[in-house]
Amino acid sequence: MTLFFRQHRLLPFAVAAVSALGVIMLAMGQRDLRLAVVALVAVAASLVLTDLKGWVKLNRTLANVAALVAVGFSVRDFMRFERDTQLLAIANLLIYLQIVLLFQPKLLRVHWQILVLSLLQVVVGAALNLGVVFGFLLVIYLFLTLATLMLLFVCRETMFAAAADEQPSRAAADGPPGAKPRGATRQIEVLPATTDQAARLLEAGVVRQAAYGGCVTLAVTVILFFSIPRFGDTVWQPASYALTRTVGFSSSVSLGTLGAVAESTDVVMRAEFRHADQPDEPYLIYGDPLFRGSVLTHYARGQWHHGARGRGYRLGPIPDKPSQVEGVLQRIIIEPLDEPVLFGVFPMYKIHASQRLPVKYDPARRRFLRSDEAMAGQFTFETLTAGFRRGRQHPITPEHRLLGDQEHRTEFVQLLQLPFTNSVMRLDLDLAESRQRRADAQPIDELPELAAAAQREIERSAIDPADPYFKLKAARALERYFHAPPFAYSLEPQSRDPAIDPVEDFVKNNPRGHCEYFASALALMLRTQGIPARMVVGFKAGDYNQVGAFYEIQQLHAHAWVEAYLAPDEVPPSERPEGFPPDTTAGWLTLDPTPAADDAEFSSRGWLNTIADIGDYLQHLWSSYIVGLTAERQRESIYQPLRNFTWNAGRLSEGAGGAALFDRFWNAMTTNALTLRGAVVLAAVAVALVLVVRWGWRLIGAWWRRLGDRGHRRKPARRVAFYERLEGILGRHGMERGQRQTPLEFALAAGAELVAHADTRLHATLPRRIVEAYYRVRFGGHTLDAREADAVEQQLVTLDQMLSGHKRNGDH
Amino acid sequence: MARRMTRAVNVRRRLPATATAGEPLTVELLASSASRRRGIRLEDTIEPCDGHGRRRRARATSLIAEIAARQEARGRYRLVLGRRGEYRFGPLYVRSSYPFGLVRRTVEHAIESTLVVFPRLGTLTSRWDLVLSRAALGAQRQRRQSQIDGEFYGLRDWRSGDSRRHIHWRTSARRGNLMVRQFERTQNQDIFLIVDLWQPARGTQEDADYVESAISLAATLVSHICRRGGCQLHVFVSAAAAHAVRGGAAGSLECAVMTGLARAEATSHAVSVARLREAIELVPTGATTIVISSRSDSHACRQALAAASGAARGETPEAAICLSSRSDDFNAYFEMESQPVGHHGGGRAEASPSLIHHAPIVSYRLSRNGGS
Repeated sequence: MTLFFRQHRLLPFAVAAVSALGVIMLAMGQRDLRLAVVALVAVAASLVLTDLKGWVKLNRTLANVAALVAVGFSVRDFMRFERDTQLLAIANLLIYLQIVLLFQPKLLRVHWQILVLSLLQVVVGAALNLGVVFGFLLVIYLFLTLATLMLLFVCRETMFAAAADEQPSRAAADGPPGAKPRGATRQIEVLPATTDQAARLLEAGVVRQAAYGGCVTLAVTVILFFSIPRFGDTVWQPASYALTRTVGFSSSVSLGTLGAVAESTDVVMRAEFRHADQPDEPYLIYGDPLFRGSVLTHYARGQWHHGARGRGYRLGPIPDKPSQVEGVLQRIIIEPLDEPVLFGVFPMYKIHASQRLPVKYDPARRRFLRSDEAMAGQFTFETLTAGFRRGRQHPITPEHRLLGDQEHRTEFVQLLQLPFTNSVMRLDLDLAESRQRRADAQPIDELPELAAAAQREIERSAIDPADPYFKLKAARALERYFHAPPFAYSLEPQSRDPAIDPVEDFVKNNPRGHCEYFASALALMLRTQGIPARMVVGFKAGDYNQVGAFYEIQQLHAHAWVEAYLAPDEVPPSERPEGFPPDTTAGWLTLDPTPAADDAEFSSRGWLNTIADIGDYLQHLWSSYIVGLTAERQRESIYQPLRNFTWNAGRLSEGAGGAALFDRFWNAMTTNALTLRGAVVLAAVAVALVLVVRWGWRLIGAWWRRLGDRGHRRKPARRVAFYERLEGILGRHGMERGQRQTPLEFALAAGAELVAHADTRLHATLPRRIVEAYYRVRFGGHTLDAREADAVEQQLVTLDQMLSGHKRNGDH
Repeated sequence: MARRMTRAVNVRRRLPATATAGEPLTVELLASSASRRRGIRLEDTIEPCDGHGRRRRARATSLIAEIAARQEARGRYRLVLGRRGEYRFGPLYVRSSYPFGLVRRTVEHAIESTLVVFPRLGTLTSRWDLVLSRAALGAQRQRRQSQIDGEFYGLRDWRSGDSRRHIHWRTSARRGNLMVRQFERTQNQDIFLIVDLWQPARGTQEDADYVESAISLAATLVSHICRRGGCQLHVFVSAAAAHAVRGGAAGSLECAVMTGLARAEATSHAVSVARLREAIELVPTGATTIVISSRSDSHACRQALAAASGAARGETPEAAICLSSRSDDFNAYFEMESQPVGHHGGGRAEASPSLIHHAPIVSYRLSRNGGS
């Protein structure tokens, strides 16, 4: 009985825990947490006031009225006919109803209703939020709910057994048919049963059973989740998911606006680098890789934008990797963003010629784009990059076009654009064209200090203008110029003189600012010195996850840097990209003028970093393989390894039949998966698989039972000779063993018979002693040694002689 | 899982040997399986075999937490069957919603058993003792008159007042003093019990209750007599199917009489004189006759008894104990804790007192010499 009460005590706690967890999971998707907090308080209050103390109990009428009010309240929000609002209205309604239910007397029905509401909350919560924490809580919820359900089951069975059946009270009244039962006793009254069996059910271990059930459920779910083929590349997104606003790579950059959003830790993308020849091996990089997004060439009034005419862009084929170039595999997973631009380490090529990348390539701006549909979800693409050499990002990015020639003169001019015209005129270009494009430019003398500072720094560096690599050396000298005081990196908003250009103000008056100021200043300085340059926006480095061997790039890693154009003859041989023809390959020299931020506080975190890495890795796995498991990813991550494994196993065992069969099946599936035929075949295979497993399981069960039965039957058949002799001796003298008598009972009965006669009384204990020896052999697995066997033999002989003598005496 | 739990489960029911209406009884349900089963609920169906079973069907459940592989687990339920008669048990359902109570599966086992429930027992009041004692004295007097003193069992010295007829002269002569024979005197009288279960053709619930009261009294009396033992008991039940039982007052006879009473159905016809005569022929002389009737007017029963006994032996009944369940005095002779009829306590007696008819106890005795 103690257990009976204990399980009833446990149930409110378990239901309250499930309710609280459901509310938390729902709250994770809601934007307003106030109601969730109220619900959590209600859960705790109802547990104490209603379940434990019994002070507050809503009767059914009050509860119904309260529920109707809640419904009415929610309908108002629901009628706005906005998808998110409607979903939130449903979520709120679920919480209202749960609060009402929590304060009702906890009948089993109410417990069920609370559990159902909690489940609905989780479902709605999943529609609003699908983070890794939600997934983790989902697993906990699974186990907790199963334990609660089991407890509820035990309680229900207990109460069912303990309560008298209600049916007889209705139907089994006294009296003949038609007679009105008055004051009559019940004809059949079932009495309350004891609860010992229910208590035993509880003793069987609710926690263990729930854990077992949870593990099995989880395993089956995981297997089904990963094995059931996907038929599309759409990633499921929560309803309330908003595209993350991106910074740092928009088509135009306004100086001074970065600071407000640069601290955001929203994940933008993850990048993995692996060896091309060993795809399972991560490619380790020294230094911080730069992930290029957009290039900006035109500057005016503190704003950068791309200088190409028109709004459209030209799409072209994704370039193939030059045969001599060694590449590194890079896999980029981009979160939903409001920009179509893709990021990566340039130059990027197809992994193999037949690869069909789901991206668009804009050769004019040297950027990769994704479709508008793909922007709504997580997007993954894999390319080969030639941007690394011996573990470091190459400072020069190869350029196949020679921008100095006539064909690309327009683009070249853009790289020298300044808000004044002197430097351009010096290049002897088409002035009419330049002037036309600079019609909206600022007055010529807008950046005097910036140009003077560049000139001074180059002179200070004593670089010979006749040096064939003058541009490279000058560019690096100017880059170093910004690394030294008084220049300092700062995300704090700086006061700028509105009368002059913000970059001029940055160099002249207030040398503090973020990367865009540094990059703008350097790019414009280079241009004042006749070095074609452009501003590049993208991301720098990010946090390297040691556990998952990937970079996690967040919004705060947005970065701007500069690329200076070097003609083929201006690139020193030592720095020339390997594998590219030297005579026809120009280069973009990467220059990062931004001084490094002080990140000492991050480097000393130690084990916290490891934990953070694990968390990031889990998030990565969750978003890549759970939420973002598309058909392609499923093929790559599950089917292909399985296929390879089977194939290898088949080859290893020199029986390629199985592997070949699998291969044929695989090909059929991959070619027909999206057709009706493929679906039918798949369903048939699944059904056949289930039947085979089921049949096999039954076969094993039957075999096991048969084995057990055989063993069971064999036991009685196992005879012990001396006991058989005992039965024979006693039987000959009229003492037969009864059908339901155990050997010991038989021996005791025989002993009682022998005691009754004077001539047999002396040896009345012999049958019992022989049977005890038999029990030791038969059930104890004991083997009689020689002495024991002799003793038993002697006892049998004595018994036989004694009974024979007794019989003779009786005859006489 | 629920399907697996209910599959290949063998069940059986073990009913008690006897059951009495109004008293709790325990039914055992035994379940076994080749492999382990958990969380099984056995649900049994109970209904009276009176043609209205379905309307009065009841269900009793027993939870079995676990059945170990190849072992038998035992569950049980208790119930009270409020009325006498025959009850059908079965079919038996094996249900399970293990482990989470989300899915339930039921397997029906057509295992049926029948149990005869003996009539409800009450308590005989002290007035019954008085009546029985008087009847015993009468019987003793009759035995003296018939010079039957019992079985010889020994000799003793003569004491003043001993009858000279009992002097054993041969021994007295041998020993030199008077010795008298001693006889074992029979203290228990044989009893002839007539149970007259009558109710009008279109009987009401009240009439049925009176019948039940009469049956309960008869059953209690039989139980009392059989527990005491030492006499012959003859029982004649005038019912829809009249029957008679006789034998030494013991457990086996009690069981037979109880079974007969349990199955007896009231009739609207008069007592069958022919069947009663057959029964009286087997009743020894001097037996105390007790008539328990559910008639409002016991005269009819008395007449039948007189007619039957007179026709059988050329005698008229001298004295008998006759009690009607409709009598005011019924409660003075017989008490029941939860009597189906409202003879006492807030039952129907208060609701409809006019239904209680005054029928005084009439005593008359069967005698060879006749005369009442």
